[in-house]
Amino acid sequence: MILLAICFALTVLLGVPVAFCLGITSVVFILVTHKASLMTIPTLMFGGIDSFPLMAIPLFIMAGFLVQKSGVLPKLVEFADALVGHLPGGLAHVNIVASMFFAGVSGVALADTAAIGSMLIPPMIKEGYDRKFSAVVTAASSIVGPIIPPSVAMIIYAYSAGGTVSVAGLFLSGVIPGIILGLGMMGLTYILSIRRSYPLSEEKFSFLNALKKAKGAVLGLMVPLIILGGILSGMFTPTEAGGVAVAYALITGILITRKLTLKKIASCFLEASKTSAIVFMMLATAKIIAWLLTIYQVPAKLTAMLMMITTNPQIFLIMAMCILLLIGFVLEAVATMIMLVPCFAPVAIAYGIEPHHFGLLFVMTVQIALITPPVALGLFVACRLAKTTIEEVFADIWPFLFLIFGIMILIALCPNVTMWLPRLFGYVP
Amino acid sequence: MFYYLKKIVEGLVIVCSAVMTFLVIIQVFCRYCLGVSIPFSEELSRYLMVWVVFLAAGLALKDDAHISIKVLVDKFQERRRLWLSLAAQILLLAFLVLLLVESIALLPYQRVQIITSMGISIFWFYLAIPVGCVIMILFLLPKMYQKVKEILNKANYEEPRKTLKGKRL
Repeated sequence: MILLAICFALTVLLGVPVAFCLGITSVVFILVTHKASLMTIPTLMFGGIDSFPLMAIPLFIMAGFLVQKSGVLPKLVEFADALVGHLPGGLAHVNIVASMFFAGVSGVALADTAAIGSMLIPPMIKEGYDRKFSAVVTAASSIVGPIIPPSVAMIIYAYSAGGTVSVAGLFLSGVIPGIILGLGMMGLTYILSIRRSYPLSEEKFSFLNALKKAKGAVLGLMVPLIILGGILSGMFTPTEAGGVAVAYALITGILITRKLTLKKIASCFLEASKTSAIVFMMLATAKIIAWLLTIYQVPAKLTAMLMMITTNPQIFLIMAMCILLLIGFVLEAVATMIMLVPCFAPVAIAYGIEPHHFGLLFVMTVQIALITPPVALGLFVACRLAKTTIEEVFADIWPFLFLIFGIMILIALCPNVTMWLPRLFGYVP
Repeated sequence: MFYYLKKIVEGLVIVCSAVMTFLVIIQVFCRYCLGVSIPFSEELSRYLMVWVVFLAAGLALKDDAHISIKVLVDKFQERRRLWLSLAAQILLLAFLVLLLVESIALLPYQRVQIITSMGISIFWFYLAIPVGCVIMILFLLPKMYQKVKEILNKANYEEPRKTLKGKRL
């Protein structure tokens, strides 16, 4: 067991891609212990990715890319602008609201950061926001992407937790926390904007204008409705919802906005395949580790160990979140999830925590890794767009980090926030 | 040659992922609009996804897109960093070769396993692993060659500085 951990740590620190670290570690382990034949490795890897529920990942990523390329995104931003552009710090609010809208289309935070950032950071800088703040708002707000459904992270969680949570239930539990998180960030932006006297837009809020812009945005806003509606009514599974979302994006892109060409579609498919291959390679090799862990009954032993420290589920929740947050400072979100869900999820159930509630908190905490320096992919993308560096925005990110973590602790302590919607639809007893 | 390899793999990935997506869409369409279900769509799309993953993993490797942690490695001086990343690549290569060997060894057993819904052997889908490994190795080798060249260049370049300062960098 310790051998596993050491070997993994060494290879990771050496800079070997995480997916292959997991593979190398398991090979070393099998060679040393002779517990299994090496031939099980390809079989396990194949089994790790040969899964219909997992296919939702490439499909949702594809749908996100297609919607982006079909020119629906500017419409969403315009709508957000009509809604909140008149507040102090207008464009920053637009950034957050647009991220929330786009979250309903795409399932990955990074796509959010890149798409919204490239559209809003340049105008923000032009209007006199400083580069640091523009980058931070973009990166922080895109965290709602994986919390508001659809969410690739949640699909991975549901798969790694081995059937104890349903993707649909997890999707639903994210709706309210996602909105709370967005509103919280808008509140923080409001305060910061007044204190730093960021520019005020001359345009006043007009209901008519908002309505007009809503008409343009409807095409984009339909996607989450179709996905959630279809899953909730039992019309299709989450994976099929992904397929329907792709079909919808293709139809609007080709017939209505007429922005999609065959070449663009092909490049969307290619990019989505590459992005998902990175995730799937990790899932494949993590399957071997998960198998080894079960043989050695690690989750059971871990539970026994933690039970000795505390039997209070709330203390355990907060402890788990702190551990995840610390790991998030050096590791990327998806990798953390794939490695730790098989260990943590059974423990949470042993503590009597509702699996969906724990799942949502897990996903949220792990997403913060995207903005915790030094390894912060989301922040990195946003900084590059704003032409600044992670070192420079260091000071600006803290208020957002505290805010997000504070909101999460609150959500952790009142499970009703997450569980109300899934309970309403009968996904959770 | 690597350029053509890349183009071919890219083409295959696009075709496989397009067919996979199409199958899922058709599955929903047939169930609701035609009232029939296709027996093989779910399985075939799943196995196509395995192909997509192993092919596209090679492309991701070429782009250095696989998630890795460089914090520690970046702390080192350039020469040691080069050595360390070469070591990482060697480990990666070793794993890929092992996976290649083991998955080929497994292939004969798969010939007899027939997927009932389609009547073809699962062999054709397990084949994705060795093929993917070969592609990844092919993309990895020029990267390693590049690293070795960089290390050699650095060695030559830093020779005079080393003697000047009198200590190793």
